[in-house]
Amino acid sequence: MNDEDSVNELIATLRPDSLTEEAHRRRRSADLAQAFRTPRAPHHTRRFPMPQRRPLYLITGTAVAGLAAAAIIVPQVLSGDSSPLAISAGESPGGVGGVGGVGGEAFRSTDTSTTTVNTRTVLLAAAKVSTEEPAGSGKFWYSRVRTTQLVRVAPDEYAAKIKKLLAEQDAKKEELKNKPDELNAAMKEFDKKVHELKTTRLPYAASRSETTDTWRSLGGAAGRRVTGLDMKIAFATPADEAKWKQAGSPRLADDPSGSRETLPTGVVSIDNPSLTWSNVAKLPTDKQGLKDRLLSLHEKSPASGKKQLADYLWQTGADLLTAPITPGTRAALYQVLADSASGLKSSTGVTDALGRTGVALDTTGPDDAGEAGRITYRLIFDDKTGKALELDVIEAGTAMPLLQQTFETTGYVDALGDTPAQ
Amino acid sequence: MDDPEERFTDLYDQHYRNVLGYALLRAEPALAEDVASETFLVAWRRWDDIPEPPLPWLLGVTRNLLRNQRVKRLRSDELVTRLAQLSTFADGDVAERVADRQEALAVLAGLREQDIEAVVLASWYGLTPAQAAEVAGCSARTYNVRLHRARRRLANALRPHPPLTFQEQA
Repeated sequence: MNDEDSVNELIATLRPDSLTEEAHRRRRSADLAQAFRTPRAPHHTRRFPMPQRRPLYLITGTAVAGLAAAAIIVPQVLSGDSSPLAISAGESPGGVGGVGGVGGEAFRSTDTSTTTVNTRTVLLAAAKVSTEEPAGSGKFWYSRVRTTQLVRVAPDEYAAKIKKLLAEQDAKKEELKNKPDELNAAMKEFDKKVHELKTTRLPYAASRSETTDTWRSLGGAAGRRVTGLDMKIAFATPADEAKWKQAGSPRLADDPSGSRETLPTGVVSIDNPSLTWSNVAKLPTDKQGLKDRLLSLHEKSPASGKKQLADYLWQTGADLLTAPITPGTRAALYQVLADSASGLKSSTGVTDALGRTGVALDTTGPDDAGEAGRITYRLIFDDKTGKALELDVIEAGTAMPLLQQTFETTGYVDALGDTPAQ
Repeated sequence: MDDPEERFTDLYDQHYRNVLGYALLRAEPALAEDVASETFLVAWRRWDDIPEPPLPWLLGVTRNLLRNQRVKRLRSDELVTRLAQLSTFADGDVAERVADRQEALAVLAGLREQDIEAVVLASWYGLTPAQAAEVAGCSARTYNVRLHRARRRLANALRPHPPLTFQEQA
């Protein structure tokens, strides 16, 4: 054995194999799920980190509401922000952990408050109508979803500001290169400025909407996903639009206009990596069977331990109600949710973005600053059919929802490009 | 195997440990894991940019993420302490292996931090000098100088019989 080999062998003994092996096992499903629900970048590489990413808040939206199409990637790490990374790992501590005392009450149906009784009643009614819907089948599961997000940054303004900050930072580095303490303080100051830049609200409320058509293959064939359809910017009020004009009418969408075609993402439910678009149709169709299954899935969930049962059930319920489950499973799901109703609030006669009327099922969580109850996660379902209509992430005091996903059409079809008969 | 998710899963399974191992050279375990996750998220989003072989590219992304996260490079004594901590996670080590490890650590403690990285990149990942230079963010020439310097020191330390003192210490 020559020296080189023995040196290599020696150094190889220092490789932390047990640690990396263990981490691989532990992180694998959440990491893969997180990647698969993240859109792939178009072919060009962007110079500035931020614009293609949706800012901080929506992370909470994804982690909690599992709102797949929302293009949510916030590697704060890329833009020099030193806030914790864990938030982008799909099992975010910014989830709905703060829902006051809800988790322990899951499945407890002895609560007699009016809201709970109402919620339980509407959920049981939804279970009943669900069983009356016909079962479907087909080679693809089609969905047409309108996604509306609050515009958080004007991309060009943001890029210019971050560029300026980076230039300042470089100058500072050069200036203080022999004064480590001062440099350290300057870098911290810089981090703070980046964070401020990312979290400062625009002086006007505007939203961007686009429609996504997805054909998810339920067999071996490839699926299709068309995004960027009918993109539209809207302002909360004419006054907001006036303020935008005053600010020089900056561009509010960084994406190229026009639709783009990609492959659909595979994950049905980020908390439940074992569920697939084809196997959700095989979930139990009786309440006890489904409840047992969901409890066992919660145990195995990457988010388990971080997410309380009631939050997990709301989240998984929302994921499943927009997936191809059978009418029997849907009915059982509403029954299971009815048993955990003490943690959920409902309102009837709520309309979605398309003007359809249904029942809203709400849970709340903390905002990015950790203040409890500031974010409402809302599922609107049609109480006449049991079908999901819309998912919303709403911040208290903000004129427009942070995120809104409206399920315009969902259903089985047999060929790519087909849409279900209305 | 044309399914992108399958291909990505393969990439992840094949290289996750390497990426995390590299991140652990710089960052605390919790942060290192997050950086490893982030590295693969970048890989997924920039699938079309990934060259063959992918590992040097992945490690380069990890390095950039750590830098952007302002994870400072460890001084060589800190790095050696870190290596010692990390490798004690291995259980079932025979005495000889433990002795080897102690010996390696003792020798590494006398090297520069960048030289340690050079020899680690070569040993752990079998990277060619050009690949390792890309990851280390230096020229291939500089990398070679570091690698040879590290190897010479280590080999010199090895050439006499493995010092029994290390075994006794272990």
